[in-house]
Amino acid sequence: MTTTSVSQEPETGGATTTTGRKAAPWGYFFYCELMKILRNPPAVLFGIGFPTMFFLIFGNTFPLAATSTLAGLAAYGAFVVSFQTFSMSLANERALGWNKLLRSTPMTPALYLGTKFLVIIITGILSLLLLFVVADLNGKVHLSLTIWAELLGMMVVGMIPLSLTGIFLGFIGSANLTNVLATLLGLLFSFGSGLFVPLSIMPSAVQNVAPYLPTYQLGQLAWIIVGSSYQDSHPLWVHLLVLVGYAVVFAVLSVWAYIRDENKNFA
Amino acid sequence: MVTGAAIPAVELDHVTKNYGSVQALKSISLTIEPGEVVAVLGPNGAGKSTTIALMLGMRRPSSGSVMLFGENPRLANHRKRIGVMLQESGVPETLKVRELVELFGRFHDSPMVTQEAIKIAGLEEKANTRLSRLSGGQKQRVYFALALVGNPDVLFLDEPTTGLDVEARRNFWDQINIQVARSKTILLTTHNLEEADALAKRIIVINQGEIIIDGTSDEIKGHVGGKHVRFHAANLSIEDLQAIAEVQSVRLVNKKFEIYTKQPEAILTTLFKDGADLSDLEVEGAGLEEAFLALTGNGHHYAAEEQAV
Repeated sequence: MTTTSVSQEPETGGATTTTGRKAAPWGYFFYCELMKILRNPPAVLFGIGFPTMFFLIFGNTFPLAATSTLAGLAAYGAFVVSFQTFSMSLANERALGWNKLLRSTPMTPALYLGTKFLVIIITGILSLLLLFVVADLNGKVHLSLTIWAELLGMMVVGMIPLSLTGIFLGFIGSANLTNVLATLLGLLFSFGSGLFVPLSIMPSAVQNVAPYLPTYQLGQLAWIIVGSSYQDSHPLWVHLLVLVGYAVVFAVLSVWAYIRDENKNFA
Repeated sequence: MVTGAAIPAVELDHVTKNYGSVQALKSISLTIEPGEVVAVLGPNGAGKSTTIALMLGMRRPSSGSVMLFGENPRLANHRKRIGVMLQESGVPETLKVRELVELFGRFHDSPMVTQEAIKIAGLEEKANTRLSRLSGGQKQRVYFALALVGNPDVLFLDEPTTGLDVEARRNFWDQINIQVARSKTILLTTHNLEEADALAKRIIVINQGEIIIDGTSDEIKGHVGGKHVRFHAANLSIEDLQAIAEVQSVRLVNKKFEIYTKQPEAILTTLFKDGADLSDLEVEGAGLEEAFLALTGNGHHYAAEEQAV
């Protein structure tokens, strides 16, 4: 909590024992959010396990391209957690009425969203670390510790704009709509950006559309860092700039979707 | 309450609420003083949940003013002083009972010990169980624990016993009465007259967004002890029956007249004296919803609609 009110509430003369505890609820809320993700098998499987599983399949099938595959899957991991896991979690809790109950508590919507965002980032980091460790042990990817760290850092930065797309999708409609769109777009964007199989073997129509996808920019950042041949002719800062543009657009769209939901359910 | 003996816990002043073109509340005014136990009684769709949502700042009034502890209920800092059970609200299924109760305790300044709230709600054996493995009734008890754990000044309970069986409902009433004895301020909604009577000294009856009666349970019971009188009568019209003083409402159901009244004997006396030709006569205790219709005068209106069909 931002306000640490220590004012003692005048209590009714009840016989209940009070703890007298003044601990801020935020830390415990964070713990609960983390537990929700870690105890949710689909979230763990898709969000945390899939990139590693795909690496073991594709990385071993095409050993010469293992490093490029790893970088693409790192981008996929960062994307799927911030887009798919985040939007589904938000939409499902809206359907459940959990955010409604929280509105009767001192938890503010901003703190609720902020905590969820932080947990999403942590989930993304767990997913990436698992992928990196397995890729390193697998023996076909050889990167210095600096490059591993740069890749991790860049993917975490990339999760910020992609989380904004997740928030937008999480507030735009019903849980059913969000779950379908998140899964469908998650796959389309990943394939369409060459995160699973190289863009060069895709039809030219896909190659032409790809640069407009946020996932393409994230993939490019990853491939540039590992020095992959999958990178296009643009320098790193151009891809970052496009992602900043995405962040701005989806921040505005998220606020719009949030206010729309607010006016529908809480006005 | 030391600080605000003069400040009402809740105050609604000429509050209306529209959802689009639907008018959910029509000019509701009420004040709830600290220490009062109030039941808002009404049929489904009467506006009970909307009233609570406004008090909690979850909805904005279309006009009029809503105060919680003398201030705007949308201020988050007031929520440390309230405990809430809502309809249509859920909790994450992957969390355990103890974790949820602990979380809600931490939202407040001087909460109960988590274990005690769990015990009061009768969930000791389920403390380490995930919500997904609880029955509907057990979940309802979790919501009760969440409302209580913060030792709030005011409890808002929206249809707290919906979905509970008779025994669970009685247990729940016992628990509420313990809170009443601790001089908590409680506002609960129900569509069950017996429940309102068992828990609250003051009952506010609302129907179609309006307060019909605001009084003690005895006053309310005086209003709703009515009967249904049904019969066939070829030579009578709805207008004839409405002309009888004791008739509160009349409608035509399956070609039978259905009268709502508190004095069936007086009506039948009048009818027989006038030589009415009645057949298939039955007299039956009326439910609360019929009483509401009679009280609001909607019975006549309703009769007109049924006839038109």
